[in-house]
Amino acid sequence: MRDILKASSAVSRLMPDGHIRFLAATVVLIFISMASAMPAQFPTASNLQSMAFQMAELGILSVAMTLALLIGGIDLSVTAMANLSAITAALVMTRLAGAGASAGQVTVAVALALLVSLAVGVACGMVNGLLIGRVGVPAILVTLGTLTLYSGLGYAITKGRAVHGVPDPVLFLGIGTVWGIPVPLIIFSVVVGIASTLLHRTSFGFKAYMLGSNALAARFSGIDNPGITMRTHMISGFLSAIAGLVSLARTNSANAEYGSSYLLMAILVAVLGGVSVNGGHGRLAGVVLALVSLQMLSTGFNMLLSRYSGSNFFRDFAWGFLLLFVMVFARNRIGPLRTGRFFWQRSRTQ
Amino acid sequence: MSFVSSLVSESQQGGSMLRRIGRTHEIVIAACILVLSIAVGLLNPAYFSLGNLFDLLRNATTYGILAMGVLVVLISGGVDVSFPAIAAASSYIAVKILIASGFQGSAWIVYALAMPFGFAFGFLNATLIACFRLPALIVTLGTAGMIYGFVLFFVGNLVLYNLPAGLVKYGTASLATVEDATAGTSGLHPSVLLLVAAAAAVGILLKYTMAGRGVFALGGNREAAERSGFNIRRIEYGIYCLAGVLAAIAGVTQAALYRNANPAALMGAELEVIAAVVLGGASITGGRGTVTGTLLGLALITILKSSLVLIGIPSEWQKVAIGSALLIGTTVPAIRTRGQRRIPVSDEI
Repeated sequence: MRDILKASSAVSRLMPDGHIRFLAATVVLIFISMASAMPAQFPTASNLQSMAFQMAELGILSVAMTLALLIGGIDLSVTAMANLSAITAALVMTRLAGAGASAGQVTVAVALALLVSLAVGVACGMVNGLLIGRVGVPAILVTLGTLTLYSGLGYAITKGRAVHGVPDPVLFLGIGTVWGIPVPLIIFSVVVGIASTLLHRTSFGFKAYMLGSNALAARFSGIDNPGITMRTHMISGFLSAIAGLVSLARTNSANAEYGSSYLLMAILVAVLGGVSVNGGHGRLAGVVLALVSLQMLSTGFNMLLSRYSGSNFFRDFAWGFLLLFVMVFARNRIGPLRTGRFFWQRSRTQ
Repeated sequence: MSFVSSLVSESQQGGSMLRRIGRTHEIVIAACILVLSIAVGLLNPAYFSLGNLFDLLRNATTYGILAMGVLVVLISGGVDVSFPAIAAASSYIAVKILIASGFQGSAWIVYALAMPFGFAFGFLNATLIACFRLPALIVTLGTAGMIYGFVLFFVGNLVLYNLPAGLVKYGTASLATVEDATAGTSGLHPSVLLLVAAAAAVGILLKYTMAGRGVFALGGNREAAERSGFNIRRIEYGIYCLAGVLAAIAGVTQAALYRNANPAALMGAELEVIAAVVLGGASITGGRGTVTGTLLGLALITILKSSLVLIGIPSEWQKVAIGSALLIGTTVPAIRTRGQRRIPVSDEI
């Protein structure tokens, strides 16, 4: 059995499924068309770098969302957890290492702040996991409640104001580059690498996929469903905290309302990447490709339409259109998303 | 047809436990509202004034109309996150057309013009959901982005303050006014009647029509509903078009109450409205929900939003209160029904 599983996963790694091929083609197509439309602006190093900076936060949140979707749930509280963690980190740093702090103080404060904010993320995820896994409330309801609760807590702590002024070494996480590669992109790559290892190389990942594809079967094969749910949501909280820290470092401020539009975008990226909303199907490779194609699309359209007012709104239109287009017309390529028959096909029940 | 009625009655018997839970749930929410009201009223007698009631109703109107559409969608086992976009888009387009044509007449014309747009957007949702059989959450997520983006980029991104005279007049109208020495004048806005009408219409539709039975049947068990002869596709078209039209009505009401047409109005309201409906006892997985419960859930959220300030809780803690209420409101019924669950834990989203 193990050999068969190993062999089949090796094959599936070598031969990407249809949807991933389709997404890769989309990425290439978008890049070629944008590059040929704006040869002087689009395929430049500085543009690629700025796209990489913009992608990372949404990308990390999308990975967190992907994990929650894979086990057959959803996590609507990712942005709220990110903001709450960022606010905690910012408060710890500004209180412990205000103006005139020595280098030693700053180091201690930063280390403590990072630790506390990651712990906040994990704790928030644990509350989600507890209510979903042990109590049995549907994930969409729990995370809808905790979305309000966590962002409310952030709002209450800060009284609705933004927290500014994090120490310079932290800013490096958000705006620094290493050999021209943006640090946020490096953090995102590490996150994807770890998440991918977790999903495809550990028993936890295997169990998570099992739980997502059939919770009943998973339970009867001895999988601890509540435990897996709990761990998945704790990881999702942890990743959200990382996203929050990156955004804190990039913008040098944290507030309770930041990036709330990222929530729906993270779902969009995951679904476009081939993650099934019913759970059990989806790969991180698809999510990354979807993220890259959406980022190129929005940057490209922003450049193309920059002389019209409200050009950034065209992005929402294009993203929504792309999502629906992929769902409708590339549907036969998206195995996991197949939920039924086309209306002109005969119904099985007749 | 006797087969259908027996199926429905059987599902009612089978659902009697759920029904009882639903009824108790409504009583619990009503008790919460009562306790909260008494607490707030004791600490601040201004709460029990007619003027405050009028203000609460005014605050609840737009969300209430939206919640009626969401209720029907949730009962059918679907979900809709595009209704704020539909509300903003259809009212904005209607107002823009009327301003361009120099129209200054009645507010009803604005409603009449916005509703077909709401219907059309709902029709788009329904086509993608019913004909292409795509998940409702993803479809409405996509259409929400498309509709907001379409209006903001192609129609306009400026807030319109020069509303037609009829709409301005309607926005400032009131059915009854109370004079208050401290709080000033408060009026009961006529749009409350629209909420009452929407609630009554949805209530009658759900309870006394075959289509309403079909919505419950679809949410309870799609396969069974299809086999018992309900035209699933027609019901789904009806549901999403109704939600679109109600959203358009809510959008124009919002524009009248705020005296401007904002293409990004109500952005982010989707989760709050869904929260109100769910707090009112509607099941997110379909098959269960009542108009009374929804109105109670809405009332609780409105009171939490606007009255905590009256008892000295700072306004920044308001969201914490709403979040806690929502968590308690969804967790307690889950614990109560836990023993009777046939479906394993965390099988549903």
